[in-house]
Amino acid sequence: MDMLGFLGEALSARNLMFALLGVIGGTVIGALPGLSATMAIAVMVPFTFALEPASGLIMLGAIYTGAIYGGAFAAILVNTPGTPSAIATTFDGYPMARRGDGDLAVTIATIASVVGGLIGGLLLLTLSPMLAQVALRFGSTEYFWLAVLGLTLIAVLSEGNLVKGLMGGCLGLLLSMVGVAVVGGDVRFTFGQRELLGGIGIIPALIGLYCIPVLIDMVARPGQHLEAPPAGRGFRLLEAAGIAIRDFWNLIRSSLIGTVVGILPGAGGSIASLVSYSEARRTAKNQAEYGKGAPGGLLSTESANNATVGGGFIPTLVLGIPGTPPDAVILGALLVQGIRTGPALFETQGSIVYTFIFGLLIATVLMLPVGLLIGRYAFRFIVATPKALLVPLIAFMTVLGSFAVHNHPSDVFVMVALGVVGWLLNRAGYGPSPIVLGLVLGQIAEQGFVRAWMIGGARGDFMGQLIVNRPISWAIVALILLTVCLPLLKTLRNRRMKEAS
Amino acid sequence: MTDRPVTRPDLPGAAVALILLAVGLYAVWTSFAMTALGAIFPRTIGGALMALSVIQIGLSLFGRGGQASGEGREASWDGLTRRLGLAFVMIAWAVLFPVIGFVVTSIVAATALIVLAEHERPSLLTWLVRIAVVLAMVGAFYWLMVRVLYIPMPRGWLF
Repeated sequence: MDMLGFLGEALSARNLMFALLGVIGGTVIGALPGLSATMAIAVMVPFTFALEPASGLIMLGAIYTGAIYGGAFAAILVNTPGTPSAIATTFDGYPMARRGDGDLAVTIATIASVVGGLIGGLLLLTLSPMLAQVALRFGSTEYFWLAVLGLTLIAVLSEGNLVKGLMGGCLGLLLSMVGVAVVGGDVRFTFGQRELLGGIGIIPALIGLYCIPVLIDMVARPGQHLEAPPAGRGFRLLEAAGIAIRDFWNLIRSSLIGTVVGILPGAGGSIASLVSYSEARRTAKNQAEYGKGAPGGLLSTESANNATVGGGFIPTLVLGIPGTPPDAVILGALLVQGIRTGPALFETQGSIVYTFIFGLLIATVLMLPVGLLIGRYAFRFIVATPKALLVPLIAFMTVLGSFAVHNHPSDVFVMVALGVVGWLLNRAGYGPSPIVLGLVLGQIAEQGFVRAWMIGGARGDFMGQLIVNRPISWAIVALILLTVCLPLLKTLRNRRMKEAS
Repeated sequence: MTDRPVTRPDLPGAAVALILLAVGLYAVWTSFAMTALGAIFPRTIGGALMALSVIQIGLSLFGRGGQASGEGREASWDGLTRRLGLAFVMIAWAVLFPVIGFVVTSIVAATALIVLAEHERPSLLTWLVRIAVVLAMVGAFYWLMVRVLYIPMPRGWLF
């Protein structure tokens, strides 16, 4: 069967129905903080055994892509990134919602997610074997530098007071060290509490640091949480499409960053969206608007995190190495269906794999109407619901979502404790984002650095292992220097121009 | 995102910096009991946190504390009782739900939050509708978690 035949198979009524159901289910689950794509896929796996392999996989892929996109709703409308990949979506999405552009923000996120998902899927379809080699070239050193690149966002987010931002980042890094160290096995900062041996869960921490302060502020003031849009304003699709077209290069670049980072096992959507946000801001003309509701920030993060879906499938299918937890569950489903992953997969079982990839692309396209409709109702719901109902609903979801991650009550306590501490820190001018960046990227940075140290130590050439003999690291370090130095140079230039005038 | 320089001392900023100085000191202190591999990051980051805290204490006391980001700019203390009330309800919810049971604590806590978030005097019917919504929400999600996602929810003493 040729490519058109696979496409026709993916477009069959049965596969379309599974793709649609998967996207709807995934979007709704992704929109609920704490309920993850992994959980939804794991629940659905047994049901897919009764289906044709391609149909079952299409449904799982659709749930995955829908859930990654659905995370944008909570991030934009209630400042709660239910998943790490939606952290950067809060930076500009929530300010847009606060100023009355929540509907535009949701539509921009939908368009960006569709474009990002399509680019990731098309690269999966066309360049999988070649791109899989990229994953093999990334060692622990490159992961370390990639995490440092993500951490440079602290400088971007802390222009008002860099020192406070850096302190928040250090606090986040220390929080990421709580528990048993992966390298070395030391028990660190647990205060004798058994519950802390596994570390501080990223999702409960995210929910707490971002959502609890919003809830605390919501109860303090009367009135609605978000302003109601003027009647008959609609989806604002043309306006959002215009913004996306004007910022087309940002969209493409972020999607490519998302795909490449998605290929790297363990890196995932959080690094992809943070790195693409950092790059979008660095190259934007309206840098000062980033963090205050710039549509370009939203375009970059949402396109990047959805591009990681296609990117993550590349090492999963070609190398049998799952890039993310949902990829790992889908890999399990593939094995149960008798599909053996590996470089020869595209020849030996091409009919299933290509039909699946086409199905994933179709599911991504279906995200546009589905996302616009669900997003419209989610926005209207948040706008229309009185605070007296919205506060308990959101609070209930934070408790439920934090508990559901590991089925452990201590996660709920961590969520609430970090939320209250985060609110107090925010009152003193220490924002939550640097803490979150440190927490999310800390483990990746530490493991990458310590492994490079061990390998370099064994070879007697630590600097060679860390940077000198690693061309990919040079490129990432160059990006880090650009991200950190360019704003400083611009500030100096502006100051000189002011003095001269 | 540049702020105007703050001219008066930033005492909350200095107080937090003092606490973080102690956190950094603790991280460095405890790192001496760790293996070389486990100690390198806590010692480095703890040391950096201590240095930054000292700088921030100086900046805050000399009136150059500033804000870390735009996120804290709307800081205000109006409605402090309600804010503290919400924090108290959330902490009590987190502590008690494994002991008393998920359903009962969720219903009680959500009802308390309805009261905290209400600034008007709604009718009795409105109250009843809201409590019915809370019951439906807790019931529906309990069913979803236990029956669909097979996540065991704590039943505690009461349910």
